[in-house]
Amino acid sequence: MAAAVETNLHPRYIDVDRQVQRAMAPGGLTYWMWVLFCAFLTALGIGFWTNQVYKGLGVTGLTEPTMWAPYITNFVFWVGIAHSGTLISAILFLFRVRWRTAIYRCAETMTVFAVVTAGLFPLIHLGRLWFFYFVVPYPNERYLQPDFRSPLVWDFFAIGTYLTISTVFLLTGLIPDCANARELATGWRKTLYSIFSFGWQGTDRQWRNFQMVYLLLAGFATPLVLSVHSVVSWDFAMTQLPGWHSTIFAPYFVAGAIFSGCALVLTLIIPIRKFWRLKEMVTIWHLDNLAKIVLLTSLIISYSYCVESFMVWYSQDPLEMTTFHQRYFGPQGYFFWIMVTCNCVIPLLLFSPRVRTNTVWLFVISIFVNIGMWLERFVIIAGSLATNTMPSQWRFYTPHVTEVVITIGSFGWFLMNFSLFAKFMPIVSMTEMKEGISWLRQAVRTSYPYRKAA
Amino acid sequence: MPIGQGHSAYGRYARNRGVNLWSFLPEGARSVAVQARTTDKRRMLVTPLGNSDMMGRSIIEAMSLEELASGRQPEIARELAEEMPKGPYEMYDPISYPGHKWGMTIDVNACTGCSACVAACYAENNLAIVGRERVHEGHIMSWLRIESFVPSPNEDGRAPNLYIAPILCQHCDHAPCEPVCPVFASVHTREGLNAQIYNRCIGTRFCENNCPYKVRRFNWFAPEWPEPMNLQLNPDVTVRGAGVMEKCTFCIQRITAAEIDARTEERELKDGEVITACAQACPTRAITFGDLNDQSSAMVKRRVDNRGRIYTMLPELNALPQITYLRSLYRTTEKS
Repeated sequence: MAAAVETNLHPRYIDVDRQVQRAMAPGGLTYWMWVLFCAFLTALGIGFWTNQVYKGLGVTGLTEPTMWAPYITNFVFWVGIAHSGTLISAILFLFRVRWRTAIYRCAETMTVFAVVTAGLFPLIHLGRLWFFYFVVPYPNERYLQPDFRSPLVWDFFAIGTYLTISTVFLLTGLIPDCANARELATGWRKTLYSIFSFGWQGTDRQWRNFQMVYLLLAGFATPLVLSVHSVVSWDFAMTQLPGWHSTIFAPYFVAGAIFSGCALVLTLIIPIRKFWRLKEMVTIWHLDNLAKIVLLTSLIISYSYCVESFMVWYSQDPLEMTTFHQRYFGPQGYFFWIMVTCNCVIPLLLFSPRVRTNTVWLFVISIFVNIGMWLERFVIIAGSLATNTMPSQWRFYTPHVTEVVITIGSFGWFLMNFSLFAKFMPIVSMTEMKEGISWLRQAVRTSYPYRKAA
Repeated sequence: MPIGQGHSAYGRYARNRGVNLWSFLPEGARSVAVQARTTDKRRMLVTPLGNSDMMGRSIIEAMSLEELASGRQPEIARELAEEMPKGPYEMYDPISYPGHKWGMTIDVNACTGCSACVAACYAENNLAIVGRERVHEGHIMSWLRIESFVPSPNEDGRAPNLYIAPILCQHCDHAPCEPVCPVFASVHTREGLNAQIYNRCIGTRFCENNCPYKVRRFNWFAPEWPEPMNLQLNPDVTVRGAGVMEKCTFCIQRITAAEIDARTEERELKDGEVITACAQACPTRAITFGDLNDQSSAMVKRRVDNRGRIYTMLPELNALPQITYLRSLYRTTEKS
């Protein structure tokens, strides 16, 4: 059986260090070409953004009712992506779920860079970028403060808190691993790892403090998984636009966030374990577990769609009824049906253990989920705005090149940052892998394809 | 077919805009036989309005003379009254406006859709003229627009042929645009105006998203005033830069000027002293502007005198608009 050949069923303590450090070896030509390609996309996005700031937002396809279409879609998408990282690194840590060890560093890195990317979009979409600091409560000569009734101010605090906690959490978890890497590295790399190991010596007292701090940070980060995306969803739920004004939004958005985030973890970890030969660390069994989360959240999402539609039908509110009718059968109704296919139908394949343990299938499904979740936000944001309360002001959004390039640029920016970090920092936690090595051995042997082979 | 439109002269911006069908006719002709055929040429048909179906919403209402005489409300109003939750709607005590509280009464029945109010608003408030291509993109800058809806096919055939009314910022007491602005650019003044502070605006455009009447306008580009159009700018009103939201101010510059005059002359402001550009330009006097706190003002009187016809747009949203419309009237005997 192919899976059995590619996987060492008896990973040893020393294998962890060897394999993770092998992944950290200087990148080859392919790696740098990839990074350059991402950097090129980023530069393109920055170029178009500059043009937009210089000329005005009119260069985008945004129009009178659809004031928010692509940029806020990207914002919600990237914030959503971030959430699964915290779920995996914090909540699963608190619940002592062992399979998180191999993937949590990757997921957490994804979280930090996804939040960084998300944080750009409220800036990109501003009409007057140069006054963005008006949203920040700072002492000023005009005695003006931001309006704390506005969900956008809540957003500012939610994203700020999330970025702070997840960055500190990521860096804290890195300390023992950086100390490990420091021992072997030379030159500027040694300096880099020395800085990020914060003087780690591995003493008993340091380990004790480290464990305690890590536990506390996990505790801090856990409520953020629920709160940050709830706040983001209130950008919509707090308004009275039909299609936005709904109490289901907070749980619905959080489930969607974890759904899309876990899918993106799959998208990222599958190439990493293949190209950097980490299959013995990140086994099929880990991917299988991730896929189960994707499946579960997909079912929650499908249920949310049903409840959302049911509540609209049950209320018989004519404004809501019209908006939802347009969402399903309007001129841009195909977006909704693509979304349902990607988010509700295709993930059902994951019920099959064969699909869950096949990396190609998982990769393809995860891409579909990401497309579907991007479209979900787009359908909610652009679609509801287009079919607003004043029928004379209906106008559907059509994209222009600026926002398409900026959206692609944001993927380039995210992937560039992620790829650089993944190369220069241990992308699998050596410390935690070693802690759970015997347990990993047993779990791998008893998990599906190997159990079957045995 | 409408005739008499288009320009053949009148400056470089107006020349060759639109066509006067009359110009095709031979001199002195009273009627002419025409043949229509398709050409392969495509022309952009631009309208600032999206959907011409009102979808049964309470935007422009009409009632029959019988309903008015018998004191009944039209069907749409009766339905809404049934569906409206029975209060209390308010968590807090209502805000009091001790000085003036500006409001407007618009008689839909008197509106002919001539758009003089729109032109007056453009001239008074330095609105940017964006041209056909950008109107097609959805970048029109008008603070005041004439909306027209055709009756839906299932209406009973007695309704008017066309619903027309001027729609501008309703200066809601519960303005949905205000709490969503993160920087207090959209604020309520002590005189009941929903004001927009351009210098404070950072262009999140959240206010327009939450505006149920869609009357806010965003400066997609910096407006241009090529020579000599800059000479027609109103010096009492600022021009707005790129990236800020703007909207109807109830001609706050006129209100302020009149208030300053009254103060220097040490007297109370008289009714009719402040008149908005749209009200001033309306040839049929469909628009009346005035002080809601002054029970003897023409605007309040007009509401009281026509109390059987008053309605507010989209009342189920409880935004408490300060513009009250008077329903259009139609005769049932003539058409049915």
